[in-house]
Amino acid sequence: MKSPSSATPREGPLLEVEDFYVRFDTDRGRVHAVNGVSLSLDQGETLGIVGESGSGKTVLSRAVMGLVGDGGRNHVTGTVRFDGREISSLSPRDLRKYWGTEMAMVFQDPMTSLNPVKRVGAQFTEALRYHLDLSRREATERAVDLLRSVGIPEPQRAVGRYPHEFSGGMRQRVTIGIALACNPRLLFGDEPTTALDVTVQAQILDLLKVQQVERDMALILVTHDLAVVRGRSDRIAVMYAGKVVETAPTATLFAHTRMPYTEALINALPRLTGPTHVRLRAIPGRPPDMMNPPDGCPFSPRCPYAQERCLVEVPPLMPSEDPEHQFACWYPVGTPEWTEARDRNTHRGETAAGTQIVKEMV
Amino acid sequence: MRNVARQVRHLLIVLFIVTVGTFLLLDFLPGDPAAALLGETAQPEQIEAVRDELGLDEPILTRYAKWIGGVVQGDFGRSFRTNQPVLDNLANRVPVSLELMFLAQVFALALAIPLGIYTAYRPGRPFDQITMTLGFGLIAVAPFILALLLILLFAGWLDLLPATGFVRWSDGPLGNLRSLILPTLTLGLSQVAIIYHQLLRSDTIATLQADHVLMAKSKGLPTWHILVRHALRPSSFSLVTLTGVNVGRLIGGSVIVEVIFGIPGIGQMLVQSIYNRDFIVLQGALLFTASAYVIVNMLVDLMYAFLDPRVQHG
Repeated sequence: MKSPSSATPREGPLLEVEDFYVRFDTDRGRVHAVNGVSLSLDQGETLGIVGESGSGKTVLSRAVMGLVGDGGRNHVTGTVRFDGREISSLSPRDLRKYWGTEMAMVFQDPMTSLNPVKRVGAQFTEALRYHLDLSRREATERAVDLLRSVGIPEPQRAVGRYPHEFSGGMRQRVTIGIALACNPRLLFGDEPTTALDVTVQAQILDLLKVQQVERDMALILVTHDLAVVRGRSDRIAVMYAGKVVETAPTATLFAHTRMPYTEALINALPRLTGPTHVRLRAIPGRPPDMMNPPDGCPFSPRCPYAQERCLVEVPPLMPSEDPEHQFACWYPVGTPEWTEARDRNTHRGETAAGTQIVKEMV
Repeated sequence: MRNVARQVRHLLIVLFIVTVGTFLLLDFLPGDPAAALLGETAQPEQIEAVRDELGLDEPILTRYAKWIGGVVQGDFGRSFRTNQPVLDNLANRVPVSLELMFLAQVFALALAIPLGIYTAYRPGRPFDQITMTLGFGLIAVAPFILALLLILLFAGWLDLLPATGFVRWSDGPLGNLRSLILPTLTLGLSQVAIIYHQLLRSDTIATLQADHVLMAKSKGLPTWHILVRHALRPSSFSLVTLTGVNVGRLIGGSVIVEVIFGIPGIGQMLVQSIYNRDFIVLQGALLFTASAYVIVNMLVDLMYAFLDPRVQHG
């Protein structure tokens, strides 16, 4: 089967997501998982999507790819354009032609994302044979090459093994190899290193980087860990309660953090420099209940700078003086308004939402 | 290999318990085989003579030892009534029950697997609800009622198939299959197809939630490929287990279906030998059914390793 879009590169972004919403009807009510997200990504670019568990980042990536589709109890609205073509309106049958060949995904837990009862080789060759119409032998040769390129030792023997015969890190290498099998132009990594040992995480991230550069492939790296994307992404979008609350080129985001949530995430990172045995600055409270999202800014109940306005009015995602840097906050960190808000909350000992101010928070 | 030895030891223990148990049970049953053999007009001294001839007055341990000694040497004894060797009787009847079992299982699986996978893929849709309602209806109807309904429909009104009776394969394959259609439908529909379908459906629904199915989907594979090549095998553990149980059970004949349709299998042999107090025949039949059951379940254990390479024996 031929890939649906032509091979000649075109101008403009590879992926454009506009005004994207995902809602699920459950027995307990409607869950607002993704609330109006817009993104764009160029060929070969890396976008990090960062947020806590429950921020909607996994649902967003699955729904953009179309793995979570509209229909039944799922409500997906908004447009997704891939290489200029609107794919959000395609039928499941047509959309499937993009999966594997144009867009692919690496999942979080390699212990569960490989079929336990199929040999590793077969899990490579089924997609190769279906999409590229290869013979069994050609497909197996290709699988061996791919396994070698993702760093699996003795690839000829590995194709005949079952997933449980590999370690976690090796299995994630296998799933990356499978995702790359049909040369996708966009790879989603959905927390690809979260389930792995810390020592293996860096190897897997480096492997993704190498493969990305080699193939000029775009990469969306979804993670809860800012440290994972810090050195490995061109841009970062911080998600909270199903919304993008701040997005900027990676260096800008760290240097000129505007959104208090982003600041809190950065502060929560353990530091290598500085005194040891310092308490980690955890973010107080919990992410909002996505069944009943709060009025106003969703972060306001946990935000140390929250004012009355934050509780009633939702801040839109606005560009700053730098059009690449957008954030959704009425009192952006580092501005005079913010200084005023911080001082007022410190003075009264609590935020407008009633959260106690503790010294470490501000 | 050590595992096989353990399985064989297990088999022998089960068979010992089964044979001793049935021997004791039959001894406690009211009714004298000799009296049953001679009929109501028999004189006491005639009965005594027959009891003596059959060795029924000997102590139970002696009788058991004699019988099991014969079995070990391949002699299952002779029928009290017909004097026919029990082994010949078994050899005549086992293929009949086997054929019925095989046809019923094939029919049930051929029906249950596509239905189970499809309804798991689209649960809650009208088709799923209709099949589920029909299925529970069929479970609720006793097999003998289903058999009578089928006879009424196909033999009575439509006049397509024989109501009862059995044609041997050697007397014509077509007639043989025709005579087994209704028994196969009864067994397959009532005991097997519906439970298989429900079991596979619920296991497949669980498998379809698994990450590896989402990953297979993300490779852009067609739906049928995901269902059949990815979801079916990990979902079929319960199905294989239950199929094993049913095969083991049905090798030993299906009493109700064989009696209703007049099929000369093991089930019929069991019933007749009980009516006739022909205990030596009953012993032989029970020994066979118990062995079949245990052996089939041993084979099912081996099947797990094929279904899931992570299952290691030992």
